[in-house]
Amino acid sequence: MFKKKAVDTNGHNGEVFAVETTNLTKIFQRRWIAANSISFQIPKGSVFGLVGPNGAGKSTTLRLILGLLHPTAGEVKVFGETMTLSTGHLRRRVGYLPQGEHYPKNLTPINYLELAGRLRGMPRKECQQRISSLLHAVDLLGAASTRIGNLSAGMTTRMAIAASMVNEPDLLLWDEPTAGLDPTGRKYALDLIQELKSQGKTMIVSTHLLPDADNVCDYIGVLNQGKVVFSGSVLEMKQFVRENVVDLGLSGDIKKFQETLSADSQILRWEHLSPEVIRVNFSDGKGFSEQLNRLMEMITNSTCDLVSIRSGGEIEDAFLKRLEADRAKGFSRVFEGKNFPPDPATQSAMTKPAYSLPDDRVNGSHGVTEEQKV
Amino acid sequence: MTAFMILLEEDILAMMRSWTVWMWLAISGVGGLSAVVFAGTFEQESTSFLFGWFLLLYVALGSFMVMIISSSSGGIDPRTLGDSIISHGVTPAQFVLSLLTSRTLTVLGMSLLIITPVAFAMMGTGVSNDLDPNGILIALIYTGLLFAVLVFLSVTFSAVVTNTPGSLAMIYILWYSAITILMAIQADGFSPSGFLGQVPSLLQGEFKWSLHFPILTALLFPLVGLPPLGIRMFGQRDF
Repeated sequence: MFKKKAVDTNGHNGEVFAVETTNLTKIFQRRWIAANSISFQIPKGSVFGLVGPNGAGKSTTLRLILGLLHPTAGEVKVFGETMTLSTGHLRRRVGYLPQGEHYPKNLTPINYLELAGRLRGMPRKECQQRISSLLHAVDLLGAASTRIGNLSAGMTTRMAIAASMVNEPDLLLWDEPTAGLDPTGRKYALDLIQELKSQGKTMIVSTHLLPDADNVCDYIGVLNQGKVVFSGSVLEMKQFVRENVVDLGLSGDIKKFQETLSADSQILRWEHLSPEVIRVNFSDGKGFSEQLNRLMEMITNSTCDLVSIRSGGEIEDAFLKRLEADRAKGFSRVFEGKNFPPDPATQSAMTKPAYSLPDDRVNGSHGVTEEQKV
Repeated sequence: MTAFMILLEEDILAMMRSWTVWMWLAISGVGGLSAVVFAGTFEQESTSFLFGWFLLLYVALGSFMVMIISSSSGGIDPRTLGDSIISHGVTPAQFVLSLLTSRTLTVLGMSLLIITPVAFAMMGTGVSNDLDPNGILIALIYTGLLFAVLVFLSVTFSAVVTNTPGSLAMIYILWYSAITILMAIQADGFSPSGFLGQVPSLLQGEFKWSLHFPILTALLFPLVGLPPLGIRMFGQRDF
């Protein structure tokens, strides 16, 4: 039911994608499958978020795209050309922000940025001009002559951000760009992604911070255990989880409001998330906005005051739901991509959505379980 | 400027900052000075014999240093190499060739800087001088070729074995096993003792093509064959 869907906003026949992976697979030492038949297409000028839990294969995927790792199977095309370790000219068009601090520790940020710029084919003078503006932009002028080994994690990330942009590449691969940054630095990094997007750059941003992906990405690929469990737009991801659910924060006579809710035929179910918060599920018959209007009217007519409202469909929920759905498939994953006719008799709990509420919690005042709070 | 030239420049600068290089220069400088002083005072042996011994010691001890300098090249942590060098558009060919060139230039430069002044100083101060400038030139070519082969072997091994001590151990075993085998089979002209037995006459200016041709060919062969092998091996690594 959670059919993998490739991002395809191409629209024009023959248009070259910025990045196109086909059945990309990486098995380390014949033991560990880090990337499992990953296929996606990223249109030029878009921001693609690669999200997934730790160890899902995000960094491996980025390194495969950059040609730093040899795929065990499959292929990566960048701007229509197959990326390998030998295609240096292609790699020069890609700015890479790696995860971790793997830099020559005896160099200073100035030396390193100059080396990066010159390796990318920039003339020395042009490179030096660009470096001074980049160091200023990432707020590293004060530490420009400090050895990289003595920089803090946040400073190293900022230096790496500058290095990835030194020759203004067309494609940027950023692995956990907000890791190790303070809130100001994080905001700066997210604003920078927006700015680069407005300049028409294509970006792949890996992160496990879902609000970051929600803020800046056009498309999202969810990785779990090396496999893409979802690939599509952020909106599609949210629509997947919406399910006509709202969480209402209320004050006043909540008990009476509960009675009104129970009496309403359009309200499928409700439950307490906390004494002041009620989660309401609408029926699927009418549109979300119409249902929401009705609910607001009910609140207006009641003796309750609305303190807060939160729609279901937060990206965290969607993400967790995707992972749950992937796990729930169990062995049926074997048949993914094969067009067997569905047999209702054999459709087991394996394929039902794992996020649906248990029946005994419908229209009741059961407290939410610890698992669901997470 | 291509990535090859930039890496070459960076690596030569790194070599110039290396304390291993400066330490070897200092030690061999002291050794050379001692040889010059010795040649000026020791009458029993000819200067070519004394210079031959100096060359033997220089090559024997220098081999260790050359292997250390060259093996550290490709043994950089693969992740650091990938993230900070290869990711900026460097190809395996550019990286391996720049390393081979810079390390060879460093080793040859260090050797020339010591051996040439020592040879000419011994020629000037030697009590029983029989050194010939042509002989010195040939000796320099041989020493250079020998060291170049050693650099090429070490860099190639370090491209395959990412662990520096491991690569160093492998090259030591290979190098000294080869020397032991050559000595054991007493291969004509190839054994170190046979080769060094020719040194005094070589330094006196005697040069027989028939004797030197197979040795020179044997030394040139790895210089041609090892770079493609190193590039291929390096290109198969993950970063």
